[in-house]
Amino acid sequence: MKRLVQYYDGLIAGLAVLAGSIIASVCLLIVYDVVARNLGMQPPDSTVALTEYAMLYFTMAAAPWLVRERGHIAVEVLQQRCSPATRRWLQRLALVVCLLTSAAVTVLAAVLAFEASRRGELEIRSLAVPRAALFAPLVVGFGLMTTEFARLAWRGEAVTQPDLPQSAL
Amino acid sequence: MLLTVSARARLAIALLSLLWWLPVRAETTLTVVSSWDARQNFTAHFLNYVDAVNAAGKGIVQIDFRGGPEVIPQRQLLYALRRGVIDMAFGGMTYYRGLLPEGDAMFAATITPAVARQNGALAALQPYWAERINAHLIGWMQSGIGPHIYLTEPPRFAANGLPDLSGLKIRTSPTNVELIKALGGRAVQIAVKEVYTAFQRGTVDGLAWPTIGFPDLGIDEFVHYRVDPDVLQLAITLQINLDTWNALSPAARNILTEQAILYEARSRRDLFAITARELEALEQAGFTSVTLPAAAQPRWREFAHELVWQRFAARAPESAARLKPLFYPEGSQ
Repeated sequence: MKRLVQYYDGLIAGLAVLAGSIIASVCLLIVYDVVARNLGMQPPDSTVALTEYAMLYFTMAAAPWLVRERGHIAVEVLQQRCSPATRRWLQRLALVVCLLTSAAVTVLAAVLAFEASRRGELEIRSLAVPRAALFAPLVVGFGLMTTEFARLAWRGEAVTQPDLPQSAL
Repeated sequence: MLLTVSARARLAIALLSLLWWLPVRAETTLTVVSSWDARQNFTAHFLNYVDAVNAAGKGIVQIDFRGGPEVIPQRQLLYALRRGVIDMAFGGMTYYRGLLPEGDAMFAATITPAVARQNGALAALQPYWAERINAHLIGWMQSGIGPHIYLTEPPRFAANGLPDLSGLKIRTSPTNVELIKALGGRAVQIAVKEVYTAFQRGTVDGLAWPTIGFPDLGIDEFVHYRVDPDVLQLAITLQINLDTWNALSPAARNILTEQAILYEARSRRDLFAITARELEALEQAGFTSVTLPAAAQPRWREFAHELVWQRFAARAPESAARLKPLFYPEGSQ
């Protein structure tokens, strides 16, 4: 079990590193594309398509790690104006909503990925990609976010404030 | 007592079911979304069909044009149709090749929509439309005109009479990549809004573009030649969600189909007229259209059409084999 948890933690961190390297690669690709075009050289064929796919992939790769790091956007102004008791309830409500939403999106994306793959559908742009490859990252990203939110719930931790004492919930 | 209780109940049920029946007989309004916005050439002309149906279908069926990609993203259109988010979808099959490869049958056809209705070609498409996008194909709404090759320098021709694009970089949509490569050129994909800059900086030497809408690109200061004739043809269709279609009254279905038949002929005529008008304006501005020698024209057409049939067969061999004799009779003799 301990070994499994280690692997899981490694996966979450590894995906975050992957997200970072995708972002860096996309930046380099765009710089190269613009430079090449302005020097009258041949820019790569699929910069736009690759960038768009990359945005989906790095978002989904980084999202589970962001849950762990409490890096997702939260409306702190609202929280600060609430009494501690209301805040606790808001935190619980947010956790439940996040957990259910993630689980629902995971299932939906899995259904769509399965359907697209069964029908053999492609996305043909400047490059042809199986349509299932658009949903697969959603399944992984939202699936892992579901387990991360479940982990927070299990430990009784808050969704947004890492410095909130555990007794707050 | 005139009626027993059960008879009264039966009468009540009969009256209620009449009420249930009434709205079914009333006018049905169908939503339609296009692959392009309302000002785009093809969509703008398609609105003639919408008006014709709305005039002929008073009290029976009406079409509500909702817009283009601002309503549903271009690439999601047929998925939205399949799920019934919208009732009808109008658009270029070129965007949906990954979902519905059978659109290539129209793109690489040599027959007209009228012939396609007579010889069963259009009917042969229905099973694919039903299976892949849960839809009924109402009509092959826009056809006839096809892509041209536009160049900055005078075109060169190979020994076999076909255009020679070796050493040239040609901007194209994914639809014509195979054609450009087969003619020796390098296919370059650049967004439409960046085409002007590409010519300005000399990144490209030409482009593949449909006969219509070239003046709108504003690149006539760089591009001075065009290879004629065009090959292949528009595969722009209108389809309706199959469940919606099955629920329509026979009268409504007739109006949609009859108006589509009229419109198919009309749009073909109008698009040819617009093409001729645009070319005339371009030529007055110093543009040159270079026509292939008459002897090479059939080879040119066969070359382009066979390439599309090959890519179609690579993707969906069974449907290509079944549809080719219907849509491209010359290629099967």
